[in-house]
Parts: sequence; structure tokens; C-alpha cells
Amino acid sequence: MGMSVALERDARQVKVSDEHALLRDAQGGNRLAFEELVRRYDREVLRLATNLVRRPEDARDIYQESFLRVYRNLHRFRFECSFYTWLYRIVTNVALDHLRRRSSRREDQAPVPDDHDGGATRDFFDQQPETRAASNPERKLLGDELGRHIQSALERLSPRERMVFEMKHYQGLKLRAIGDMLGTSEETVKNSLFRATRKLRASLDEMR
Amino acid sequence: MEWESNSESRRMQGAEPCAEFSERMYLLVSDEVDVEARAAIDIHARRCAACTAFLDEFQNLKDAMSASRIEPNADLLANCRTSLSDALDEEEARKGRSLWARWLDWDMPLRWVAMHPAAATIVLLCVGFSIGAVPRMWRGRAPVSPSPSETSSSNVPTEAAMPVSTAALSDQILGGADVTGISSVDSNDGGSPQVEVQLKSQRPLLVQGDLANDNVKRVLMYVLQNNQRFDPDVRMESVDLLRARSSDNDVCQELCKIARTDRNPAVRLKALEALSTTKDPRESVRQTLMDALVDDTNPGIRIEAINSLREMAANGQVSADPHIVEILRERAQKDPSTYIRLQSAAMIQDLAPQEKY
Repeated sequence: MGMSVALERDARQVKVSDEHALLRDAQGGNRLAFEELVRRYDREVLRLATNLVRRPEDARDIYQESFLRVYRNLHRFRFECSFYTWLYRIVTNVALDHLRRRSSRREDQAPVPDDHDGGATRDFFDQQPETRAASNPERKLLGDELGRHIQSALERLSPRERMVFEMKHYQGLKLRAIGDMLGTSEETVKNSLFRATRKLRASLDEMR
Repeated sequence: MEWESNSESRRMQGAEPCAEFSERMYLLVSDEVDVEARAAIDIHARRCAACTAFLDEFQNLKDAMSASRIEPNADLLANCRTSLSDALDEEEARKGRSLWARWLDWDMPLRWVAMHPAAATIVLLCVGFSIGAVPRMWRGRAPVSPSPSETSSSNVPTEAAMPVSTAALSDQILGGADVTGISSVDSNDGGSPQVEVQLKSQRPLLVQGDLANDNVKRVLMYVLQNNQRFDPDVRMESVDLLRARSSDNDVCQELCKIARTDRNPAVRLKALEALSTTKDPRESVRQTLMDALVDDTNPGIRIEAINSLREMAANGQVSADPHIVEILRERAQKDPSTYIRLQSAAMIQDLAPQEKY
């Protein structure tokens, strides 16, 4: 048991020092090192972006803008926090900007159905396993209804509340880490999270 | 859905935890309490209907939200990576472009003026003032006259001129002087441009002459040989002017050195551009270009190097040397820039069509 903990700790240290070496190479202009860093984190970034904005084309914009900003500002990274925290600080800023812009344009808020792109932009309930719909049309109807309610409930959250809820419950981050990434205090994050939870519960209660 | 069938939750829907445990309950469902606090909350929740209902309802909320999660598919991820790679290529190419090329973007000044009318007015006033005032200031300075003919043809008043011969413009004078500005003006007869170098020493000096003038060359070479002392714009202007004399052995060697060692990428790029215009490039020029292609961290400079090498190959100035082919193969496989990889592969085909890469 003790040995496996020690091995895990060693593996973590190797990973960190390996990442520092990659970062230094990338800061020196090594594009391959930068692309390796991107590959380490880009799935999580894309998952976060997709679930925040729910449209693949918007998620792709956030992905690209975030990593371009990382690339342009990598020389400013001083190893004072983890690269993960620094990266997420940038990603959350870009995503929040995007959400704020979108909430000021009402027409953009509803998901745009498109049957010609292989389902990439369909509403999420269209992407659920076929068994759910095929085996029980009534259940499919309920599922569609719930999907719309969740979408509408999410739209009622402010961009920051939405971000905090996503990062807490689906990215599994601690409140303090979220505060670091959003540049605010743990207390503020906690209040945003509680507000988001209450709003979501209230919104979803309406459908029952 | 699960929460629809949970009759207990339906009965207690909208339930808030009891006031005493409210915050702790929210922290519990957010996984922000330690083991001991969790145990205490569990004990309480078993006895408290409101808190139990709250926990059930929150779990149902999470389940419903989880069902609505979207997992980005592999195609989207691949698409994002490709777009990012293209954007990075553009970013690197943009960084690598010379300052002049950026300034020469035809619509940039117009866009800037349109966006900043007040600032544009101030800038135009400053430019107008400078045009009126600077020549008067220069006329008060003493030129270093390299030859009697040039002194007599210059507009500098004779009473302000300091008669310094070529030999007198020594390293000692240059060592104590600072180059404050270099300007060149195209001659009216279409010949070599007239260069003016302003030196700040105990007494301001002005070196004038065309590019064939040895004093002009000497000052420009001095800037490159002591490049750490001078600003990048002075170094860049010196490299640009010495381009006309890049066939001179000493100039060529100095440009090679600058292309390898100057700390400013724009200056290194300018030196490579100057070397690539050499009519009959020496081996040292080819080697400098190869070294830039392999070692320079700036992709814009590597792009300039591969472009120049391809041009030289097209003119028959680069042979299918195995060492060169080996370097190109390595670049074709490993360079981060798609453009360089493609150009390296194309150059291998130009030099040695039978080679595989």
C-alpha cells in the first residue's frame, strides 16, 4: 500500500517535471512541445466548452481562441501556479466572454438544429442512445421535454453561475481552484454555486 | 426518468434543508466537506425529512443534468486540432514577417486613422512639425567629409563642417560615439542612394555619402560588429543598407554572423534577406542559410531560409550534397511548420528526384 502511494507520488513528480520541460521548450519557440501540451489538455477544454455553449461551432471557437491566447502569452507563464490552472484561467475567460456576448444576443440562445452535419449540432437528446427512444416513444417524448427544460434552465443562469456549476460538478474542481481560475474568492464562488443550484432546482421543479 | 418515478422527491419537491444544516448540505452535495463533517451530516439527515428530501432532490437534479451532457466526438476534436494548427502556422508566419512588410499593409494606416481620428490628428501635426524642424537642426551639425568632392557637393554649411579624413574616422572615434539615426535618400539620377549617419559623440557628427563610400561602410560595419551596443532599428537599417555590398567578403562574413547571432529575429531575418540577394553566394552563405533552417527557433526565419535555399537551388547554386539532402529530409519530417516540411520535401525532389523522404 505504502509502496503504491510512493510510486504514485513519484509518477506525479515525473509528470510535473516532464511538463515543466515541455513548457520551457514551448516558451523557447518549440512548436512540437506546444502541440504536446495542447494534446494533454484539449479534450477537457473541448468538453468544458461544449457543455457550456452546447453548440459545436461555438465550442470550436472557444477552443481555438483559448489555445491561441495560451500560445501568444506562454512567455508570461512564470511557473507560479500549475499550467492547468493558468490554462483554465484563459479558457474560462474566453468562455465567459462568449457566454456574455451570446446572452446579449437573444436570437443565439436556442440551439440550432441541423440535419446535414452528421448530428454534430443536434439537440443533445437527439444524441442519446437509440434504445431509449426506440423502445418507448412516450419516454422519448418525456426525454425531449426534460431536455428542453434543462436547456431553458441553464439559459436562466448567469454566465458565471453556469461556469461555476459546470466546473464544480462536472470538471470536479474544488471551490478554491475555481476561485483561482476565475480570479475571485472562494466565498464568491460558493455563493455563485449555491445560487446556480437553487435556480436549477426551481426551474426544473416547474416541469413536474 | 429516475426523478419522475421518485415519489418521495415529488412529495418533497422544492424542499430546502433545515436552516441549521443548510450551508453544510450545499457544501456536502458540492463535495466540499471532510470525512468527519460528512459523517455528522449523514447522522442528521437520517433523522431530518427536509434534509433527506433535499439530498434526494439534488441527486435527481444531478442525474437529470448528467443525462443532458454532451461528449464531444472525435471528429470535432480532430477538426479543432487541425484548425488550431493552421491558426498557429498563420501566427508564426505573421510573426516572421519583416516590420517593413507589416507597415506596408496598404490599408493599415487608413484603418488606423478611421478608428482613431483624434490621435491621427495629433500624429499628423507631430509629423508636420518634425518635417519643418528636423532639417534645420541637422544643418547645424558638422559632417565628417570623406572626400573633397562629397564635401563640396553636400548641403551642409562649410562653417559647421569638421574636416575629418577617412583615416581620422577611427575606431576610437566610433567607440566613443553613438549612432542616433541612419537615413538614406534615393539619388535623383537613379544611382546609389545617399546615406546619412548621425553620430552622437563629444560633438555631433554626420557621415554622408553613397553606399560605395568607405566611411559609410565603416560606420555601418561598426554597428554590426558591436551590435550589442545599438538598438535593433539601427542594426536593421545597417543590415538593409549593407545589402548593396553583400558581395564584399567582409560584409558577407558580418551578415552571416548577424544572421546567426543577433538576438532580434527581425534583424536576423533582414540579414538572411540580404545574404539571399548575393549574386554569387559563397559556401558560407549556403551554410548560414542551412544553419538558420535547422537551428533558428523563429519559424519566419526558417521560412526565409528554405525559400532562399530553394531559389538558390533553382539557379543551380546548391548541389545535391548528401549532407544537405540529409538536413532537408530531417526538416521534411520534423519541422513544426507545415510550410517548411512541404518546401523541404519539394527541395529534395528538386535536388535529388530519386531520394525518398
